[in-house]
Amino acid sequence: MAKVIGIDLGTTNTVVAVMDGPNPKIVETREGRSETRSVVSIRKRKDRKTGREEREELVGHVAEENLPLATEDTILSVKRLMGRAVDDPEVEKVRRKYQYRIVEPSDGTRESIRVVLDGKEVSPVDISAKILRRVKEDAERYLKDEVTHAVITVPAYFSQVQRDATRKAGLKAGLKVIKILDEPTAAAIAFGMDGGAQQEPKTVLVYDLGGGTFDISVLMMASSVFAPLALGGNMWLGGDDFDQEIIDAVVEHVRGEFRIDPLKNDPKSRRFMAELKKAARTTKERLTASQSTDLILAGLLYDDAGNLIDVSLEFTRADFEGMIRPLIERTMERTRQAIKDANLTADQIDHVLIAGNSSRIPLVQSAIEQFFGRDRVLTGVHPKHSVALGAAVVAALIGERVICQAPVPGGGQRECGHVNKLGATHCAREGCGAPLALADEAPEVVIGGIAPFHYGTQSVGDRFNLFISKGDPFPTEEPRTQVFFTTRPNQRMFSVPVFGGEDLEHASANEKQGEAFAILPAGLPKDTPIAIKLWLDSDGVFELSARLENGTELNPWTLTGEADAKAIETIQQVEQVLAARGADLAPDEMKRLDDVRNRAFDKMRRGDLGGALKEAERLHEMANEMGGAGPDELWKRAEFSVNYCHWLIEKYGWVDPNAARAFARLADDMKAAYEARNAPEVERRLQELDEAFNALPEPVRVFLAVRNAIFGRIRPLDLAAAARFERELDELEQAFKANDPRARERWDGFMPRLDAALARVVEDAGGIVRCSRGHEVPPGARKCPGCGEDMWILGTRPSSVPSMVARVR
Amino acid sequence: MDAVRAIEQDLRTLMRQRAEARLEVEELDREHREQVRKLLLGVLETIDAFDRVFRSVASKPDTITPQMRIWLNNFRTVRRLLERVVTEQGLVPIVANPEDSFDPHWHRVSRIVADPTRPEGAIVEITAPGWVWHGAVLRKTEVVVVSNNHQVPDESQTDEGGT
Repeated sequence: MAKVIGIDLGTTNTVVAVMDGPNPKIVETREGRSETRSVVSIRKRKDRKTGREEREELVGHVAEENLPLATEDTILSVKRLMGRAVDDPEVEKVRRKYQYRIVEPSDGTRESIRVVLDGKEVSPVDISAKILRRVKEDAERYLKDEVTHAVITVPAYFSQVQRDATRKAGLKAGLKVIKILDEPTAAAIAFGMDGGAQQEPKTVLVYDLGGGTFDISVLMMASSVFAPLALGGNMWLGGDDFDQEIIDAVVEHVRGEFRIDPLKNDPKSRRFMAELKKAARTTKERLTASQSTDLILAGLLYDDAGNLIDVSLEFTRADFEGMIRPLIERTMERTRQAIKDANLTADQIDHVLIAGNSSRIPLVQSAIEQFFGRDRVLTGVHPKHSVALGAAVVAALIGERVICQAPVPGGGQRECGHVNKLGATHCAREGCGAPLALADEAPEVVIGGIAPFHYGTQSVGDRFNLFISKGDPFPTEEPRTQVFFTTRPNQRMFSVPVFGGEDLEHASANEKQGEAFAILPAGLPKDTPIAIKLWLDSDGVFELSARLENGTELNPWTLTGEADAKAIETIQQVEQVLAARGADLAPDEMKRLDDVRNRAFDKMRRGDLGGALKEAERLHEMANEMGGAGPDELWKRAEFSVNYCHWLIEKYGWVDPNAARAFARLADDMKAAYEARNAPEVERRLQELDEAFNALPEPVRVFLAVRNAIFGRIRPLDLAAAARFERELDELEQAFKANDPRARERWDGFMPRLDAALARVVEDAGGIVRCSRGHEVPPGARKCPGCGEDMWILGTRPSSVPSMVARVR
Repeated sequence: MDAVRAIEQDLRTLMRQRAEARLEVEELDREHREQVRKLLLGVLETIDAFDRVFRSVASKPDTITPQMRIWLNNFRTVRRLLERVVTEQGLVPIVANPEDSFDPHWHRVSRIVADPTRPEGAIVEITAPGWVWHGAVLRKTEVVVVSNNHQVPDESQTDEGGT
């Protein structure tokens, strides 16, 4: 089997580990380092011979070196952006700290973001994928073997979307991600706490102090399950802040001793400050090992007379500890809070683990030991490496059980490599089905967890429909089924907002975990039952299935804020435009819009999200054209009027050939004015056409009025009935055209039925759709204009649930 | 059968111990290499400091007395001794010339200057030499580089020191 690696994809550094015999070891980078900087940059240079500008993509330390020359093209701390929305406060903090641009995606919604690299929009997933691809290559070079699978760690507080984004980054890097593992769990495993044979539940506190972030996690460990009881920390506190204390002290010293301000914004001062930053970090590291050290910066600072000033300042460990004590105290406050949030006392914590490079500072260790007692604080694994080492252990433990190693027929040495569910006995890949290695042996470790809160869906009226109770173990073994109902006739889309929290009554009182979305077949009546299952996978990520009573699987997917969400948002905007003025549109316009919308739905169903977005944008464009909006409104109106004339002539030219010829002439004149971009002439012709439309022959006006009634009134509420009436109207028009003697009689039969249908839809919906609070909502609109209620979400009708559940099972 | 199982068990134990010992040796080796690396970097830093002093003195030749000249020669000797220590450890200087283009694989920016007469990324000055040790870059050459397009970055942009 190819090597499976464990990856600690960090904010500042990425560390990779792999099992070597019984122990995990750190994989060295091509530069001989134990870590890769999580930085991506673009180097631009002109080729001396050709004069052409060349671009080189840099990843790691070398990318960081490129920062001074490419401040806007160097992406740092991308982990802070993973799975976040444009308006997220965390994104704003990153924006303030770094100079690269963060923008709303042109192919996604405000629920996601892009960074600008080399003038192109790139997603945080893509940036992370570049980092992962780099460490994959380095690992292959170091191990002299192909690396195909990985366990990637994420902070325990990462949301569903952030975990999913991390998994996608792995896939884009060419890695099959066999598990997304919580960082504190990985650290615990690195310390030997796989809990395999252990029966007694233990509480573990993981104190993780990195370069720029501080995470605190209280876990419950029982029979190989690690459950977070409380999570806390500070996303902007870490070793960099300790360096800053030293820097501030040196700046003060220089100001007092030499009357020089090193913070002056001149090149020499900037150089001094850059070197001081490095020296401060070195000083901090030296004080980890010794009681005192000198910070020396020779020949870097100049006084006003141009003399070189050597800066030499002795720091004792006591000095340093005095400076950073308030910062450490802040971490301890968060630690106490996390223990309290877990409903525990410090005495009830069985083990304390230390992770993150900054945890090596003696004061950090002594503060923790003082608080918990030395015997409960475990040491022995380098804090900088513990997360990656733990990930490597998990990769080895579950890799052999889930990765299919059967050879691919005709594939030479190539293995199937499919990642199966833990516990599977045979490969689930279609066409493989080979038995899995070690399938008969009970796994030594099943790293699942327990649900940290209740999970449920939101239905009409902000009801919280409980699916998973707080404390339920995951992966969920037997998912619960609940039945929901469409809230109006011909509902084409539905969304399932998933919430997590403590409030069992109101969904929105909890935190939104994500939103699933599905497309319904056309023509379903109101109150169509849909059976929904929701469960948590082994990574604690929710998954959802939905099916109709007749067994049709609806295959919902979780929105990510990318092209799928953008397409849906765009369709929603169009629906609102059409709902507001659908009756004004000509029947052929409605049909054209419908065709495009159906194409968008089809593409979404097939997973072609980019294609769906293009169709949705086309739909939007068409709706705007028809609605007369947009910057080129006049030209669009002119073009539309020409097309409309041609449609009228084709459809109703037989009614009055003279009128048809007049319309053909008007259309030609309009086309000429439009093609010449003669605005006054176009305006004049438009007026002429308006007058001609008002003077249409009586039969044409009647046919058009009937068509508008079908499309504008019946279709939004009852698609099937509208289709029947449309077909019948076409046939009637043909009958009149052919002078069929029974045409008149048929027409007399048709009109009362149409009237009745109109009355029915008006009665059914009271002429309009209403939200659960009784506000009027235009047909097709997603949100209620009165209260903002989501009209796509499904309704509940508990009395009929049991029978439906029985049927769908 | 029990005896076979016992032998099998012993063999597994021996294999594990062997792997652990190998890892330990690798770890010791890595630690040793890291210590030497740090020592060499410290010596290089000292050599750089000497060079900066010599450059500063050279910029004010009128102020140098005969006595100072003797001391300066003494310092130069000390500097040469230090350089001999690093070259004997296998350090090879990175060749860099002004007018080369900045290459982050080999160079580190110590300062950025604006100069519209020169191309973007041109090196105008070498402030500290770079060194290669056992085929890998031990320290990049520190250079002053031309940039007319970019703002000077806030030094705090780089996060370092943790994961």
